[in-house]
Amino acid sequence: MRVLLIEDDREAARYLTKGLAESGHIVDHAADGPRGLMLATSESYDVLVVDRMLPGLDGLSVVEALRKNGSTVPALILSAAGSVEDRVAGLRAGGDDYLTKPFAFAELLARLDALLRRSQPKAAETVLHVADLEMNLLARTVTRGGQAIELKPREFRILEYLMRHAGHVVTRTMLLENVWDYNFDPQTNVIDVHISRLRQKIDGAGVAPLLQTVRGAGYRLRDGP
Amino acid sequence: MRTPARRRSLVFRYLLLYSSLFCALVVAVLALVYWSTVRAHERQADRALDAEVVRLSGTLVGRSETQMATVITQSSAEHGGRTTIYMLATERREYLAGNLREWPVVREEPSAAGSAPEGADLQEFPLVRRPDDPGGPATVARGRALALPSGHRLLVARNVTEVGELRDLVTRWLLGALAVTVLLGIGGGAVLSRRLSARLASLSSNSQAILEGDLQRRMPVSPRGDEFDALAESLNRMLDRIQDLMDGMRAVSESIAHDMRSPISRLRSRIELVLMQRPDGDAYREVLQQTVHDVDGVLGMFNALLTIALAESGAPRERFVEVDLRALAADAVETYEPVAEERGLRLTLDAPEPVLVRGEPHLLTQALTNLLDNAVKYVPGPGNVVVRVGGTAERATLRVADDGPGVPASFHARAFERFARVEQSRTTPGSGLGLSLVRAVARLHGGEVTLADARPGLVVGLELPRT
Repeated sequence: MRVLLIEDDREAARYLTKGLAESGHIVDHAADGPRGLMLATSESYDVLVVDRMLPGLDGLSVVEALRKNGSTVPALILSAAGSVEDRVAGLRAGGDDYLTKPFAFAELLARLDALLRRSQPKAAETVLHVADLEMNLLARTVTRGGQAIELKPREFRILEYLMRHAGHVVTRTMLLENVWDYNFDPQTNVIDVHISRLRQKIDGAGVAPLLQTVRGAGYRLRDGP
Repeated sequence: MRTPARRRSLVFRYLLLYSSLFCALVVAVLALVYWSTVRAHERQADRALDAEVVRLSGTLVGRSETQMATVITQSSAEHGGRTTIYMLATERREYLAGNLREWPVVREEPSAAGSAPEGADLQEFPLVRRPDDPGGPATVARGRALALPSGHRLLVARNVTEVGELRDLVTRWLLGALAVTVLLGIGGGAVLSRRLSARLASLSSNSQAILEGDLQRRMPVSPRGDEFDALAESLNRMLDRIQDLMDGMRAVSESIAHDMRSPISRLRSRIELVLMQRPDGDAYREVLQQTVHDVDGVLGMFNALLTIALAESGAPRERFVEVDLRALAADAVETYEPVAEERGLRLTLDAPEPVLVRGEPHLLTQALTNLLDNAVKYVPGPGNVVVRVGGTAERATLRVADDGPGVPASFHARAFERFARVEQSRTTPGSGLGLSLVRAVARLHGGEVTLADARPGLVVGLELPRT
């Protein structure tokens, strides 16, 4: 995947470029807003990683300018400001996701992954399939190998999110933001407990486990054998 | 301190204004006194003179010249003397009778019998000499000169030379009184303004000293207890409050420095230790992972501090919306229920109906999760935790009650301070910021949070004003 990183902090840019390259991405780097906008319009990228505070032209303005030109390339905004209104402003400017510094590198990778998938829009689905797991979004039912599984509303939403990102890492923060709408980390690891309950329900005895824990990153719903 | 230029001084401007008003009032009072003494006296004399004119003109009608002379001579003898002047003259203004010998230069009015001429004022005219003192100074008379139907001329007047002197005397006294009044007004005002200015200057110079860093200084308060003392006392109370807040801030900064130093120095020693060992990939990896975990803990503390600061700034009030506390509580209970169950606690919600408040849903949720975090962390299982949402028309209440060991009453007051932790819980994980955040959020919403002993257990109560 081709990633354009627009980041003025040299140290951060070096570390992000290295990390993204090691994860198999091809990275271009721009150190200021105008140069980033120029690269983004002249070259073709799969995803943009844009720092919010940039010399010349700030990150939100870069994304806004791109959207005005009709570009739909997914953009992840990085910022040191993490309050709700900062987030809302970032998404309103045309950003597709918003990540507050400091963040775990695994978090960034998981989110870029999710953005790349989102850029290939699918028709509205009413039934999701992952391996022999089936979720009917209208009837609100879940079956595994034809066996009905009773889920609580919250578990249903967690599983739906995991199934929509099947095969990819979903971080705890992504679950908190998207399933709970929490923009803070509860001190107790509530996510792990909910996941383990969900796991007990879908990965019963005698079936191949689908819900995996990815150490230091989050969870993944296995979609292959 | 710098005194403002004289013309810009408020005290001086007020003094000028009030002196002017005061002088104007005194002038008005003196004018009234003048009018009601001198002028009233003159008008009374004028009326008496007019009555005499009416009487005489009536009496003289149809009389012979000799008879008229007799009447005038009589009147002159009876009423004349030093002040009243009579003169009867021929058509050619030759003396016939009276105590004035020469007809003065005077405007003559036609006379109808028995009445004074309508509408015309008495006139003042100079006499060549006083009737009883031919050699004296020229005098002024005030009266009427009539052309009688018979052609004779009649003059009735009053010597007003002395009245004029009295008038001059009164005027001089009144002007003197006015001058004294103005001098007293300005002089007294100047003294007063200097004293007021001095007290203001004292407040001002003390403020300046505090501004320049003498933070312990306070405004002087006199034992008189006047308005300036009241002002000085309010200022002193304000300064004390600011001092308290600053002390609080200093304590917080020190706690932050202290609490941040321990995990960071732990990190440092651990890294140092592993560096002393022989390079070993697995050991390095383990230490680095532990390090990342600890750094996350420190970052979490900073996030909590930032959120508390945000709530205390009041800025989120701009985003207040209608929030159903019951819905928030139901969501949080559902989130924590599995965690509670894992620790042998039964977490239940008791909220019979929606409870609407105006607030910031994210911060309220965070406060609520902090309360539940505390409950599942510090209440040993088996036990019960109940979240009750209710309230009156004015107040919404949310209570988290447990039947655990509770916390010592001595800790209740300190529990909401940053980094405050029950001593025996130092070993359990926690930043000591959870309840501080709950309090900051409660106060942001105009409410309060309290701790109470539930015997057994602890009740944390959140009270918020209703919409």
